[in-house]
Amino acid sequence: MTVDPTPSVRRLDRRHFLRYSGLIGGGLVLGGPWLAGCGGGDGSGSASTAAVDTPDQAAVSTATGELKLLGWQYYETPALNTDQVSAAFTYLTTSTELFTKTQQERSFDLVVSNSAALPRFLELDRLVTLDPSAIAGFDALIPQLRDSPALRDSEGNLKGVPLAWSFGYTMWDPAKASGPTGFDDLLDSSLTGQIGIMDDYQGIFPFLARVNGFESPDRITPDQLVEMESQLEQLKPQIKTIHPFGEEVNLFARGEIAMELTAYGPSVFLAKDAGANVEWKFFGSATFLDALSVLPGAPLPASYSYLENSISEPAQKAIAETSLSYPVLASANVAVPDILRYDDITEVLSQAPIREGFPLEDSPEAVGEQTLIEAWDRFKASL
Amino acid sequence: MVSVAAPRTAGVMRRRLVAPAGLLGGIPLLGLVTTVLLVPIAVFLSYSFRSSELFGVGDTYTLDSYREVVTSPEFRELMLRSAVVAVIVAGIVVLCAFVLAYAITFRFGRWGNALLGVVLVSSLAAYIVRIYAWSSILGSNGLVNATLQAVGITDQPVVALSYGYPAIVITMVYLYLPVAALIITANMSGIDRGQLEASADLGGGRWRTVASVVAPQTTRAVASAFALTAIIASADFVTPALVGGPKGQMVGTTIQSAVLSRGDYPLGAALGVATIVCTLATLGLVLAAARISASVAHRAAMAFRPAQRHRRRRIRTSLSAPVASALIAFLVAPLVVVVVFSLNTNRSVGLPMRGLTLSWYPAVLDEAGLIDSMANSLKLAVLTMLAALAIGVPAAFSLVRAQGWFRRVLWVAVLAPLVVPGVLIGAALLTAANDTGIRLGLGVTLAAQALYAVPFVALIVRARILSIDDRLTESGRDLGSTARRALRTVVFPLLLPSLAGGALLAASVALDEILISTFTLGGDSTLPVWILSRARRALTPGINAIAVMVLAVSLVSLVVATRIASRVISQRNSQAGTL
Amino acid sequence: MSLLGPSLAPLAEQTAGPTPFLELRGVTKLYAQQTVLAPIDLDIRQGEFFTLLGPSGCGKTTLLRIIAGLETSTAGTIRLGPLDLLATPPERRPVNLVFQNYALFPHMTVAENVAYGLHAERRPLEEIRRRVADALDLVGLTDKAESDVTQLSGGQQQRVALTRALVKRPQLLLLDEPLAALDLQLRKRLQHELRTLQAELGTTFIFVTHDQEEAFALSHRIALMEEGRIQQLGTPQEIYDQPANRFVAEFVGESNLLACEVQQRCGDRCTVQLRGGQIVTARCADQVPAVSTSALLALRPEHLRLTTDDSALLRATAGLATFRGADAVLEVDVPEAGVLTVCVAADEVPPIGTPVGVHILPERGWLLGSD
Repeated sequence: MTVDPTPSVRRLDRRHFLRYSGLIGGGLVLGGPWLAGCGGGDGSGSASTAAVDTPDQAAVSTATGELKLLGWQYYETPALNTDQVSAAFTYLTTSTELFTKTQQERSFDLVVSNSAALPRFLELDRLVTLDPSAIAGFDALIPQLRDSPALRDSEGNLKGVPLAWSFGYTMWDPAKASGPTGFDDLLDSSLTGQIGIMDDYQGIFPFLARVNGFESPDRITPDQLVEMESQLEQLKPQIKTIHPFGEEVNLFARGEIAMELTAYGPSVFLAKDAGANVEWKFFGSATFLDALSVLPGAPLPASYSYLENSISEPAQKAIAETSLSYPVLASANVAVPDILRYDDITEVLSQAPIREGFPLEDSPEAVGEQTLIEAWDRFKASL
Repeated sequence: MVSVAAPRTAGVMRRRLVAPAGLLGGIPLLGLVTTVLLVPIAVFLSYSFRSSELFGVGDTYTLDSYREVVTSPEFRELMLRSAVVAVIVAGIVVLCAFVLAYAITFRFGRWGNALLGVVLVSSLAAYIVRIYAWSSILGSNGLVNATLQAVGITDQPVVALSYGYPAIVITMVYLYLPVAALIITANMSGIDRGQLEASADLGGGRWRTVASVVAPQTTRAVASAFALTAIIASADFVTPALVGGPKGQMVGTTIQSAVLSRGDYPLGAALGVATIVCTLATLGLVLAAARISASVAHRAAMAFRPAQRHRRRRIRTSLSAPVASALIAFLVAPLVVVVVFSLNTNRSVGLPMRGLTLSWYPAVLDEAGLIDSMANSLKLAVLTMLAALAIGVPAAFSLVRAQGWFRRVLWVAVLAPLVVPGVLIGAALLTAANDTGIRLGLGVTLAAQALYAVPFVALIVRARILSIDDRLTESGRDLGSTARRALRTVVFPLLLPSLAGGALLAASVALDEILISTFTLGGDSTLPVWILSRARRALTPGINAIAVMVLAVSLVSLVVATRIASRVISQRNSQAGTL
Repeated sequence: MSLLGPSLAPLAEQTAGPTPFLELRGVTKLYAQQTVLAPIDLDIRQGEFFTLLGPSGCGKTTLLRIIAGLETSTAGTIRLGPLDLLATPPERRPVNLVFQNYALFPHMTVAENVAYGLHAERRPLEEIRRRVADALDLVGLTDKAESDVTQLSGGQQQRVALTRALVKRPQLLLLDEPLAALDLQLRKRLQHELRTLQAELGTTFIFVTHDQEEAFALSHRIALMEEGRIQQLGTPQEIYDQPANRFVAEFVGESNLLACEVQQRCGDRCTVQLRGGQIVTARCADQVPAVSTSALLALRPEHLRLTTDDSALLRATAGLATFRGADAVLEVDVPEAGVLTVCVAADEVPPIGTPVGVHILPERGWLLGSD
């Protein structure tokens, strides 16, 4: 055995050093995209978004590429992609991620906005103005949705193309309760500890606004807020749970609640599918209009191409199937399950007006969003 | 320690600076901690002194956020509640982990290692799904209530179990028990069995043996597990969101909503500082109280000495084994539930069960984006594991060899990622990325998860090195440097089991990680994100199918990895034999 | 000395009482279809220093641990006086064990370690303090009382382990190869101390070792074990002079075994004929072997002599010599009998290859049955 004069200790360190520097190097290579990402700024977009930048028709029809889209998982369907233009989905887990995840420039090209989120988007000046005349098929959309001011800014510029919509409603188990006609019905002793509410200030306050007969589900005066808070106090013994989205289906399936105040979308359909016996009616209802919006810096031809495809009949049918929301194209209504089909949209919209979003700042005419959030947090903490 | 050597060189005394021992191995760790933790956290916490703007940070310096935090009664109560819940959870976890560790180390014999593996594997199934499984078990019509009613103990379902603080506590105990058990078991297995035999031989019954022989040797591990669990639990916001109900609000949710929902970074930062202060203060109080009460109890036991009367025949039952078995069942039960519910013909995630079907498995694989998200999760898990090993193993060597001030620096670096709540790490990285323009995504998430996983690897490997290092140094002294080199080649096979354990822990941390990744994923999606997004439209049993598949993949990888590792060991052994 | 209670009187070595104190009957241990201990019957007397001797794997440690209560037996009974030992849990047995690796409690000081057993008995604090101090004084560790056990040397740790067990005044002290980890000088010194201690205290010691010299130096009686059985039970002298079988003859001391045939028998003397035709006289046991049977003649090196006499019984060639200080042991190659070892004076070692004569001293060899 030959004697190695080199102290083994140093040898070992060198070996280690080589080993991990190699690994770190590898890591850097893999993490390259992270390092490569560059860009400026923190908040608002660089270019002004008010002016319309209409892409060339020819460019739109020949556009190709993959867009980055921020939206809800249940809207993801292959039908939204064409051979030329497709979108890679990044999933929202909360509504507020609409703002935080789009903060970095060029983080996304498209985003699934909604009518209630528009005020904040406009404040942040983060949505590109769209030219409806350059979007094929736009005129074919349901007029009340197509022309709704909820997707336009104060000058009438279009900020989002309608994608799908649903409305909130109240549902109940007919064996244990009956459809409420007014707020006092909710205080009935048979409903003690039997009511579920979704944990969403965007759900409960419009609900109460509508139940109380206020003009708009989004405009609540300070006095009206006080009244609502006392109503919530009265509701306390009736509430079983304030639960996350989608949980109401399981709650009905397990027989845990008799009434859900702020159900929306396909809840009733899903609950029935899960074996519960439920009915629904318009009560405290408001409509959520989801839309596709374009963010600054996105490639316009490809974006327009994608928008056009999203309102085509096949795509709309596919969206209706995966998300169980209503399509914005009337001819796609056949894809909606029977129990959810409506007859007359005017009737629906009068019972469930489209949400325009809470104001951002407090004013004597209406409280701001922040105040409502705090009121809701206070209520939850006081339970 | 920087030491000064003074070799005589032709009458001239030269001073040379010698690098601190273990410097080389510690560099990656220090680099990682500085760039991914210290700097972003420092910057983020500095925001607590600035004014808020809509999704941004103002330019003026103010204590407004702190004022809001300190004066608002809701916040104060929330933080207090969070700290108390965290301490309660930590206490229960540590107690159960101790019993589990004791049974695994001393009572279960050769089954002990297998059971430890079961405990660790139970931590692999998707975090979120495990929480959902608990809802099905604890809910009003869940298994527990159904059983209680069937047996006749209660007429009405016990509501408290399904939502609220009891549910949070139970779920958190479930989530954090495996790691605590691992920490304490690792420590306990260093105790020579002979000591327990000696204690019995000298007349010490089981309780005396545990209290006087085993427990005093595990205090450090127990304290670490306690502190770690309390800190992580205090800032967990996913668990309260899913099982907390309206009454179960904890501060982690508030921080998350402040930062992500309202972009109010100063408030989030102030809350974060307040949380850390609150939790550390509570921890300090609890540990001090524990120490005081231990010495009081000791003194009382000494003073009170009843004379030995007749020796009554005691019933010789081993308590630890049944309790430990119950705990293991507790850990495994939700997995079983998840598997069973994945076969539910009924559309609901949990009960009621209508029938059995395998149709959810192919159905869920068809769901848009799922495969990609799963792929991302797995990719991230593997990369995290590799990064954690690459940084943690040299760091472990450094920890062993370092002296003096450098040693202290290393220890701070190793423990810091564990002490800072994940919520804050995520929020800090989010703001750092926004400020510097670095794109959020898998890369940043990888860095954050590696940061979180490295301490586990480093501490596990360090413990192992220490247990073999004594033999090494002795033989090294006897046999000379050549043999020392040979021994180093032998050291690695000895280290491999702990490397495997550390790697597994790192991978499971990454796979389930959602506290930090909510903030750092940016445009990429992992499986938990997919699930949370999908959950908006009511989940199907398919989510259970997903969890089962993730679990299966993890198990298979674990088995494969262990096989490879043992083959490497035997190869190295035969190599060593030829030396 | 003060370790003793007033009830036990010190006994001199030779007067170990004849009354059986520890009775083992049919103690058996089976493990995974293997017989670790064949049924063992053993009587150990009060106050004796008894050793279980044997190669590794012979079952001696298992037997010791069964007596201590740390392992269970498959069958059999053990009685310590009137007490049924196997029915008593180890915490309650008046038996204590000194572990091979000491098994000290590392988080306690020396004094705390020693006091542990007394705390377990719930003795009054004053009494504990006194007894611990006396015990440490006895083994010379008083100045180390407050030290951490991890700071002690091997020999000191062994003493702490011993004291920890003895301070409880057990009726039976078991020692599991306690000196195995120590170097030669230390071992010899501690052997001496153990012997003295046992004689002073009069406590019955059961000692386990694989070192035959150690067993001989310490014990009143030895049980030599192999493969779970007691091959021979007796005093060191008996075992050395009258090995029961080939294993014993070869395990203890140097041994030459020559095949032979029994010619004559007369009481405990006999005449045998070696293969080469030589006639030798030897000792034998009463019972075996019978006349005209083949047997083995066991000769220690000191039973053989080198001789220049032509009438030497065996002709051999000198081989390697092993120097032993006072004398040397020479290997000689005998054509009909193989290699034998012969005692020679240290300065009379012939060079290798020298033809030598080997003389067998009469009536010194011991006859074994051939097996």
